[in-house]
Amino acid sequence: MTHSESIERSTAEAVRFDGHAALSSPTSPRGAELTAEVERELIRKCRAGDARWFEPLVYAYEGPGMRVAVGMMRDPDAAHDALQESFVKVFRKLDHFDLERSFGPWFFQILRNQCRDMLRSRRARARHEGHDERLEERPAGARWDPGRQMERSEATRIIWEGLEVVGEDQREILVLKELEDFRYHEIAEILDIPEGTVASRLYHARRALREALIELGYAGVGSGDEG
Amino acid sequence: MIPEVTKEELMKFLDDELDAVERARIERRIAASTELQRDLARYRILKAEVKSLGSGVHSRGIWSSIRRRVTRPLGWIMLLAGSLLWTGWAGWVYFTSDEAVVAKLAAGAIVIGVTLLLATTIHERWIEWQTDPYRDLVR
Repeated sequence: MTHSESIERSTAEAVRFDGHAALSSPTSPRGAELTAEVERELIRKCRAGDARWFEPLVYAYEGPGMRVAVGMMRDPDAAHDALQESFVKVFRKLDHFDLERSFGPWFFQILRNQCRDMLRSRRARARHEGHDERLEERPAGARWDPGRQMERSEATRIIWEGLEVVGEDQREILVLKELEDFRYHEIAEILDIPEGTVASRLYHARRALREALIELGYAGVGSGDEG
Repeated sequence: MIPEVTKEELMKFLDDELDAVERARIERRIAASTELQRDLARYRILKAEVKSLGSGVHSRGIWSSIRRRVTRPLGWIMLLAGSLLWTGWAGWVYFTSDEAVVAKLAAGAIVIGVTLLLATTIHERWIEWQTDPYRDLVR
C-alpha cells in the first residue's frame, strides 16, 4: 500500500467511524485520534466541496472544544452555541487555512475569539439595557450553574466560581493549560502572544486562582503566602 | 548558595516544558528548598483540581446542526437564483403584455403591498429578537 493510499484509507475509516464514544470522550486528548496528515486530507476534501468530510473533524474536536468553551463562558448553553458557530466559521474559512499549520490551534483560536465576542456582546447588551453586568455574566436563576450538567459537589462549584473571579484573560489561559493541557507554543498561537510570556501569564493566573479559592473558603489548595 | 528559581522556571517545570538539562537543574534546586517544594505541591494540587472540572463537561453532539448550516448555502443560492429569474421573467411579461393599464397598476400595487408587508414584518421580528432580554433563556 502506498503512502497516499494509506492516508486515503485512514481518512475513509475516520469518516465511517461512528466516533462519538472514542473521539469525543472527556478523557481523550484533543484531536489525538486524527493525525495531522489525516486532518490535512480531510480539509482538502472539504475544500473540494464535500461537507461530509468535515464530520470527523467535528467529532474529534467537539469534546475538547466544549470543555474550552464552557471554561471560558461558564454557561453550557452559550458554550454549545459558541462551539457550533466556531465550527461553521472554521468550515467557511477552510479555503484560507494554511495546510502547513496545525489544525488544532487554529480551531481553538477561532473558538476563543468566538467566546470572547459572545461574552462582549452579552456585556454590551446588559449595559444597553441597564442590567447589572455581573448578573448578566452570571445568567439568572437556574440558567447559571456550570455544575448543572457536571458533578454537583461543593468543591466543583467553588473552583468554577474561582475561575469566574479571576477574570477573562486569566481564565482563558488556565482553561487552555489545565483543562486541555496545551503546550506553551500552542497556547501562544491560540492567544496570539509571544511564547516567552506564557509561563509568566500562567504563574499570575494560577496565583490569582489560588488566592480566589482561598478567599472563597476552599481549603484544598492550601493557605498562606507563597513568599 | 543555591540560586533562586524564577516563577517562569517553576511553571515550566510544573508543565514539563523544560529540556532534560534544565529540568535536572531545577530539580536540584527544588530538592534543596522546602519553600519551593511547598509551592510546587500547591500548584500541582491546583492543576489537578482544575483539570478535574473537564471530566464533567460533555458535548451534546452537534454535527447534525452543523451539517444543516454548512450545506444550507447551496439551498439559499438556488432559491435566490430561482427568485431572481422568476422576478425578471414576471417583469418582462408585465411590461410587454397588452393588458389594460388599470390591470397593470392594480397588479403592481398588490405586489408592492405584499413585499412591503413582508419586509416590515421581518424587520419588526428582527428588532424584537435583538432587544429581547430573554432570548438566551428561551430555546
